[in-house]
Amino acid sequence: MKATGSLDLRVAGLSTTGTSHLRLGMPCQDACGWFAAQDMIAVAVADGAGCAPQSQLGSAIAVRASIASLLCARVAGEDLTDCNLALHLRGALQAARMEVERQASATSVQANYLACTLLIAVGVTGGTIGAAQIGDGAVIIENKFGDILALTSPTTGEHLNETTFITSAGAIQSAQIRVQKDATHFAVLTDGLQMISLRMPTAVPHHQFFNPLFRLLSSVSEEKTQAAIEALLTEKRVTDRTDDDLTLVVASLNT
Amino acid sequence: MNTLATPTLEEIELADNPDPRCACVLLLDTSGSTAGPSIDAINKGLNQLKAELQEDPLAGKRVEFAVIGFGSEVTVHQEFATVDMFSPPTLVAAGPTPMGAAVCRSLDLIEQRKLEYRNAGVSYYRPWVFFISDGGPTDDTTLAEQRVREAEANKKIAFFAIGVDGADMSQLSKFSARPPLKLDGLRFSGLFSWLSASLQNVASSRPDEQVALPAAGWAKV
Repeated sequence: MKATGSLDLRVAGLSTTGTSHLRLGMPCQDACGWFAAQDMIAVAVADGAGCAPQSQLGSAIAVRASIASLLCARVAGEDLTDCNLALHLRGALQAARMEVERQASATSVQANYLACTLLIAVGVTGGTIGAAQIGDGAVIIENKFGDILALTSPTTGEHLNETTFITSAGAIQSAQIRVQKDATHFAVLTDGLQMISLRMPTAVPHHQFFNPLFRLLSSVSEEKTQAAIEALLTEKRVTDRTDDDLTLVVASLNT
Repeated sequence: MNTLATPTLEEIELADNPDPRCACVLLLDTSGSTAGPSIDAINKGLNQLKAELQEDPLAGKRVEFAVIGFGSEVTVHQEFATVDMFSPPTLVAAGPTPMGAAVCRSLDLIEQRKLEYRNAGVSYYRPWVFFISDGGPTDDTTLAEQRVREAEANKKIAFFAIGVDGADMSQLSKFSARPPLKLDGLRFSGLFSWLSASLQNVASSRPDEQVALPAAGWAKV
């Protein structure tokens, strides 16, 4: 689901396996996916719970199901702007949770074996952007004034390594769902990048992390941006600071 | 495309944040009965722990140790410090086993450290108490048991109790829903290796339950 339909809308990104996961022989538990149509981009990103035995499957299913839900809405000609966008985002969260639970039931395991966070962002030409988030990570936007802001931010408890998962009780009811106008770019990231892209614990985006990335996507091809993001996530100055799986997807609405 | 304005990777700046911390209290029985091979093995284990964690740069920045010994007195031998500043004390065995007072002291130390983290804007993982004893208490442990059970139930700490030869395992099990483990003989080296490996991993994982103690290697099944 990576075909781009328009030169005006761009998206690039990927997930990389954390150095700690490589050391322990664990798979990458992050997943990401998106689709782009002529007038919109939908991105989904998920991070499997570290101790959940099948969380890499959970995160893959959550991404696929939430993107499929939004694609169906788009194909059916649904209006994905303003308050309708919030409804469809909630619908995408529900679709993801249902698919994860269905998989668990089909293989006779507890649903929390596939526990993961989930972040969804939908950008529409004209600059409306909506985001839905369960757990940590963040959706960051740049608006037409050049401000870089967190549309959604990490949900954590007292402790850094505790958050909500899609399989947690009340996860959808307590999910962050936000819609904003006048966005030109957005980025979606999992918690592995929080410490190096946001000022914690307030989760204020670091301007000079996101701004060059957004300008890069607007300047060069998606393939070149993809390669640059991969190079960034595997740089020593990044892996020295975080050994977790990393996911970063950036998108340009070119408004 | 305006290639003159094309940004480079070098322009991407990483945010500067204090390293998140994982506080670990080593709560060690230094009563008279531990004299001999047991206290020697613990002293050796503390040095082994420091050496192993120093090899992991990320754990080196994140893990903080405090050491409390309990015997003649409850003594904080080491306030919380990262691995590079951690000076493993040489523990001496003497006196009774004031287990209740020692456990309470460990919880107080953790609450104090968390307050310091919050005041400094430092993020932190769920702290650990790693409790090793070879006997039964010689003081009242009722309050300590209640405080640990409440803290665990509210996911405030992760409390691991290890019994050495001669330990009152039924007493140790009163502290935590997590069953205590029995050290096999003097396999402290395996125990401290497990501890250093687990502490390296705790910052990388996001457990609903804390890391499970392995049965193999140093514990009696």
